[in-house]
Amino acid sequence: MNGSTLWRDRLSSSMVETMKYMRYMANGGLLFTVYFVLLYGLVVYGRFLDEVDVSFPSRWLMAACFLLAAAYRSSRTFLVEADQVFLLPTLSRLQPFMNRVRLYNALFGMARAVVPFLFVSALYVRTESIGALELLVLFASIAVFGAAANLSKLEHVPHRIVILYACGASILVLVDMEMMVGVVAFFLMIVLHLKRNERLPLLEWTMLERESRERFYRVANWFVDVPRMPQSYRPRRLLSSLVERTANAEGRSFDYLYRKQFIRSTDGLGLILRLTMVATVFMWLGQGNDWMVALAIPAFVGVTVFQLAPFTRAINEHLLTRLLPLPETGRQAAKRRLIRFAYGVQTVILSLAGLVFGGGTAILPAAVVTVLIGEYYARK
Amino acid sequence: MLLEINNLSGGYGAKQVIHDIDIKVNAGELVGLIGLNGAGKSTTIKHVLGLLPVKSGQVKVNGYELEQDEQSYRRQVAYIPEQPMLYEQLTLQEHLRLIAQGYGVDEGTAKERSDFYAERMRMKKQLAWFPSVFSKGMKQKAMILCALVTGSELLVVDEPFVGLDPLAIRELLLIFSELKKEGKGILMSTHILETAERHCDRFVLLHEGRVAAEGTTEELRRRYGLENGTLDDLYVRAIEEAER
Repeated sequence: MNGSTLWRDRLSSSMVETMKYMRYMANGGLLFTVYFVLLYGLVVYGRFLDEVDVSFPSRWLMAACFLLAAAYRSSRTFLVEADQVFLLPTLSRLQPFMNRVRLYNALFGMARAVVPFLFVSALYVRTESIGALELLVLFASIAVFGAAANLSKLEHVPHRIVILYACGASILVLVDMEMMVGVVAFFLMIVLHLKRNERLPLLEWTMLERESRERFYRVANWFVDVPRMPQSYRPRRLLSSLVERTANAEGRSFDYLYRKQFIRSTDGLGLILRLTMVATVFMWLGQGNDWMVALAIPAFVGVTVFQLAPFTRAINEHLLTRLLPLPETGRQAAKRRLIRFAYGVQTVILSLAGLVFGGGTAILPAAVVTVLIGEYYARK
Repeated sequence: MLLEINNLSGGYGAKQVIHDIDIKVNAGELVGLIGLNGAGKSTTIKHVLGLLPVKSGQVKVNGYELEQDEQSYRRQVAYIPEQPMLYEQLTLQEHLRLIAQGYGVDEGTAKERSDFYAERMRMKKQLAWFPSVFSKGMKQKAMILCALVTGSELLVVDEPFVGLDPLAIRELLLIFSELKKEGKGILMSTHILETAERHCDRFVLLHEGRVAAEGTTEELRRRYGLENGTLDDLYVRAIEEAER
C-alpha cells in the first residue's frame, strides 16, 4: 500500500465514523438547541456591535485571539494500533501520506483559529482605525498560528515555542504594528519546516491519533452517550444513596435500574442539566420579551422528554434485564415515573428562572403546555 | 426433576438448530453439556432461558413452564453466560442488589450471600467498582456472583471457566459441589473435558443439534466398549458414530 492509497482509505473510514457520531449527536437534540441559542446569541451580538463605543478594548480581544489560536492544539494522524506492525515494511514510502496528514491538520487548525477571529474582527474594525491590507495580514497570520499549533504537535515541536511566537504577535497587535504580525507568523512556519519529521514516527503518531479520537468521543459524549467510549461513570454518591432509599423494595427493580442509569448517564441527568443551562442562557438573552422567555420552558422541557422517551430502550435490551423475573407492567410504570420526575423538576426550575428573567404571567400557560407535552411522552 | 426438556426443537428464526432434544437435570446433579462448536449447546441454553421461541417440545423448570407463569419460571433459573454482560453504569454491589431485588431475595439474605460469595471469589474489594475497570476474569466472576446471589434452584452455566484464574476455577467447582449438596441442579456447557469428567455427574453429548449420547462416564464407557476411556475418548467415539 502506498502513501496516497493509505491516505484515501483512512480518510474515508474516518469520515464514515465521524458522520456516524455526528448523527448520534444530532439525534441527541442538545446539538440543535445549542445551535439555535448560538443563532440567537449572534442576533444579540449584532445589536451589541451597533451600539458599541469606540473606547471598547477590542485591541486586547484581538491580541487574545492570537494566544487562543496557539494555545489549543490537536492533531489527527489517521493511524491505528495495527499500523505499528503492518506499516513497518512500507515506512520509507509514506511521505505522501505524511504530507496529506500535515495539510489536513493545518487546514483544521486554520479553521479553528479563524472562527473567533471573524467575530472579533467585526468588533475590531468598528473601534480601531485599520486598513484592509492590515486586516488581511491579521487574518492570514492567525490562520498560520492555528495551523502551526496543530503542526507543532505532529512534528514534536515544543508547545512553548508556538506560544512564545503568539505572545510576540499579541504584543505587536497591542502596540498597533499589525503588519509585523505577518513576519512573526512567517518565521514560525520556517521553524516548523526546519524541525519537521523526515520519517513517519509510527508510535508517536499512533498515540496522537488515539488521543485525538478519545477527545472526539469525549466531546460527542457531551451530547449523547457514546457506545464506543470507555465510560468512566461517576458514582454520584449522594444521588445514588437517594435512589437506594426510594427504589429499594421488591418489584421496584426497574425503578432502581432506570434511576441509577438516569443519574449517571449523559443521556439522563447530564442532558437535563445541559438543556437547563442552555435554556437559562436563552431566557437571559430574551429578557424584555416575556413570551420569548416563557417559550423556552415548553421548548426545552419538550426536548428533554423527547430524549428521555427512548432512554430505557438500551437497558431493556440488555441480557440481564431480559432475564429479570419481573412483569412488563413494572417496567412501563418505572419509566413513566422517571419521565414525570424529570420533566416536573425541570419545569419548576425553568419556571422560576423565567420569573427571574421577566417572563411574568406568560409563565403559567407555558408551564401548563409543558406538563401536557411531558405527559404525552410519559404515556407514549 | 429440576429441568425437563422434552422433544425440544428450535433455533433462530426460520433456521432450526436443535432437533428433538431430551435433557433432564435432577436436584443435586451437575450435568455437562458437551459438543463441538455449533453443536447447539448455546441454542439449547437460550431455549432454557426463554430467550428463543420454542418450535416444538417442552421446557419445564422445577415444574414451571415459561408460557404459563413467566415470572415464577424465571425465578427458578440463574444464568452465567460465556461472555460477561454487565451494566456499565452500575457497580458490582448495585448489580447484586438489583438481581436480588428482581429475584425476590430479601435484603439480609442478599447481603449475606453477596459478602459470602464475593469473599470466596476474591471480589470483596471490587464490590464498589464499575465494570469498566474490571479485567475479563473479574467480569466473569461478577457474572458468577450475580447468578449465585439469586439462590435459584437451577443454575445454567455456559463455559464458566473462560478467563478465570486457577484459584477461581477451583473455588467455583467447590461452590458447585456445595450447591449440589443443597439440592440445586446445574446444567453446564464446557469444552474443558478433563474438568467436566471429574466434576459432572452425567453428560449430554450434542452433535449437529441432536443428542448423540447421554449418561454417566461408566454408562458411556459401556456403550462404546471403552473400559478405561476418558471423556475425551468417549466424546470422539460418540462424534464418529454420529457421523457414520
